[in-house]
Amino acid sequence: MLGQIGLGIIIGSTLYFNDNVVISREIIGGKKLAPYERTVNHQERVTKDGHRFADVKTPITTIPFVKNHEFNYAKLISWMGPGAEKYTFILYILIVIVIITAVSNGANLTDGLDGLATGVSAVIGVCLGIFAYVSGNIQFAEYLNIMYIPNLGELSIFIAAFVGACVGFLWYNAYPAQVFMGDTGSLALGGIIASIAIIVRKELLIPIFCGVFLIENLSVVLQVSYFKYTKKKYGEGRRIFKMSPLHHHYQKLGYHESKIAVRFWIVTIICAAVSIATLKMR
Amino acid sequence: MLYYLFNYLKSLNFSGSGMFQFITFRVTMALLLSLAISLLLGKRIVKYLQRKQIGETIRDLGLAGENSKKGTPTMGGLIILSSILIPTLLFAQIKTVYIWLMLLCTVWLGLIGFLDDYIKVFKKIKKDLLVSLKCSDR
Repeated sequence: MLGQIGLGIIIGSTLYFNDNVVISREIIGGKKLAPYERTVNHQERVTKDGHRFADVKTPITTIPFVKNHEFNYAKLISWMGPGAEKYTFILYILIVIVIITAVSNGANLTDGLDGLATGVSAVIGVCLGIFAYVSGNIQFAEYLNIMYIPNLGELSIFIAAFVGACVGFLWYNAYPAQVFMGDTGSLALGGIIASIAIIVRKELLIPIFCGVFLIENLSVVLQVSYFKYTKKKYGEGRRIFKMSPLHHHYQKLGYHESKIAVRFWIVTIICAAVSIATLKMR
Repeated sequence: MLYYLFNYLKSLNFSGSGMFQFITFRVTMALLLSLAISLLLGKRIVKYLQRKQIGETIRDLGLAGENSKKGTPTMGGLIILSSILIPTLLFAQIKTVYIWLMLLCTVWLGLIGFLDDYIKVFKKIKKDLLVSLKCSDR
């Protein structure tokens, strides 16, 4: 837990303050930048149809399903007063910490059946790889009308290694498992997925493509809080699920564990396909 | 790191070294290499972990097939970590901020998880040792 917070602080502050973390944004006329934004190098990139782009440092993220709208974290804080936007980094770092902790915790909970967390992470990895490649490729980004993030193509190499590692590990981890990944693997998988999602600025899509991690997390939270609530109210604890996390609930219902694992992969494939579709569908 | 090597070779007009300019080529190579590492190295790591008896403690949940999982070694995350780190170091431009950030993330969380696992396993081995000592006393 403390380690995840530390990592969140490092990643959040690097993404916020490092001059190499920029996005390319169109400049319309003499539109001025907000006080918390700045251009990094003053070179402009002009496309064939005369649009001008510049590299801007700004804490924004993509909103799914909406065209040409990006969410700026500074807007969350600007109501506090005119000077408050300078302190956006505190909010940003907090959000990064929450995301990293939640996703790596979700991966840790999901790692309960043979091949479950590994397969789910591999599918999510493919989805993130597509995001990283199209956001880092100028032609694709222009065609899809999404944020162009310079140098992001390199990240797709890392993601390829990540997917390969997951699939290779699945070779040994598939039912019946010869080896478990343990916390060594599950924390790292979750943390990597969360960090990449933040870097490619698709963190608002996490509830969709990490849907399995989310429901596993939610099932535990619901189960525990409902149990405590009913214990206080009726004197005895009641349960929503037969057992949490969710995959054990299905195991109690009598499904075979490899069936549950494969079905969870299929759910993840659907989630990933939906979130990839948001690139064009908006 | 191979990126820089092949960039240098390209400046000497070494044929074929221009391939490393293409991200798609390096993506494919990284994917294949990480698969190769996890499959080949994985077997050794699994055997090593089995020998060391680093088994996961299975919670007693009353589920089917639970006992058959006893003795399966844990810490297989080492396979994942090594097959992420090596291809990335070889094929990506490490100077890019995103790459070193992700490398840091992998190593950091891997280390924390490893310590977690290690403490769990160590405690279990200690407990088993105590149990066996007590038994022999009788």
